[in-house]
Formats: sequence, C-alpha cells, structure tokens
Amino acid sequence: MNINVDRAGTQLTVGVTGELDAHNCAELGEAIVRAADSEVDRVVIDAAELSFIDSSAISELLRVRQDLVDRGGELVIQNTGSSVRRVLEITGLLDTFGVS
Amino acid sequence: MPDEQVTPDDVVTLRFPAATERVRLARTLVATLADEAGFDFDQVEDLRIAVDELCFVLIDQCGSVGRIEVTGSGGLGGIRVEGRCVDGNSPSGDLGDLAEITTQILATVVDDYEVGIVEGVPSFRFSKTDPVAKPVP
Repeated sequence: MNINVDRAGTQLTVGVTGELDAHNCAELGEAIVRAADSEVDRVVIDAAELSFIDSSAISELLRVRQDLVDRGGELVIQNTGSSVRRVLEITGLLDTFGVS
Repeated sequence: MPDEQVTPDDVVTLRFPAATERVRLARTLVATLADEAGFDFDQVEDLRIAVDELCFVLIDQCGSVGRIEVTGSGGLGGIRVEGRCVDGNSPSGDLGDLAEITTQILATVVDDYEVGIVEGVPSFRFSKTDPVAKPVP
C-alpha cells in the first residue's frame, strides 16, 4: 500500500494505492491524523487506486472519521472501484462516507 | 513440454505464518481458485474478502509462533475453503463473537460459513456456488 497526502487549504486529499487490510490500515489512520491539523475540516480518501478493503480498514476509517466529525469536519471516500464500493454497500456505510 | 491444465477438483493447500502481512497470500489463493471455477469479478472479490476476514479471526488465536493452513478446492461453479491454525497455541476457549461488521460481510459474500474450534483447533470454512458460472476450459 502507498499513501499520498496532498493538502489544499482546509482539505486533505489522501490517495491510497493497493490493498488496505488489518496489516496496514493503522498506517493510513496515522498518516491522516498526522496531516490533519486543526485547520483541516475535510479529508477526502481518493480510492481510485485502492483495490481491496476489509472490515479492519473500514473500522479504522470510521475511527478517523469520528474524530473529524467531533471537531466539525468530515471524511469522504471518492472514486471507489467496484470492490471497495461493494464492501461499503454491504456494511451500510455508503452514505456515511459520502459515496454516491 | 506437455500442456499443464488445472483440474477443477484440485485441492490446494497454503500454509503461512499467522502474521497479518501474510493474509494476502490466502486472498490470492482464493481469487485464483474462484477465477478458475468461473466466478465473475465481483464474486471473486467477495471470496477474497471472505478469506481475509476469517484468516484475521484465526490470527488472533494462533499465537506468534502459529501458522495458518488454508485449503481450497473449486470447480464447476463452486468453491470450498477451509482454514485452521497449526503449530500454534492451544485455544483457551471458544473464539468469541465475530465483530458485527465481519458478520455483515460474511453473511453477504458467501453461501455459508462456520468459524470455531474444531477438534481443539481454531478453524473456519466457507463455500459458495454459482450455478451459472462456467469453469475455464
């Protein structure tokens, strides 16, 4: 998995490449927390190159999202491929992560 | 060199250290078997996440010196996968309840699954059939 963090104003865009599972999901969470200082109010996970996600990774993203929501921010997932979308759909989290 | 063909009824066994970074090997094995059994892309992805979720359940049980053995067989539109801890700690009790999100996923992506202690060993199994799937010739 590779993580690319890009800051533009108050938005953080986090590109994730590869597979996200229980082995590496904490790394993603830590990268977001490190980069999302108090001025960041929107985190966008760019999932265009994310080929796999499991329940551990979703739980990590939910945790990070909740921290952002608690301070008035949001975390959304964009450009989901069918695999990632499928898991979010099964778990009823499409709306939670703003996946249209 | 003679042609080598995959026999649909081949049983493949994979054994790897019970470490999180190795679970992708199980995902690859199951994806290969599912593809050979004729499942479509989305179904293959469903089976990949099934084995992922269940292997991570076992990792918590196997201990640091344990290994996980995954055995898969597929053919004619169906796949069956079993996993168990080997060489690891003896379980102290049952496996406990699965996380709700894991249960949600497994209930959707496979036809049936079981996880628990079988003959004293943390184990799982699942299967999925697709009556319209056509195996690769």
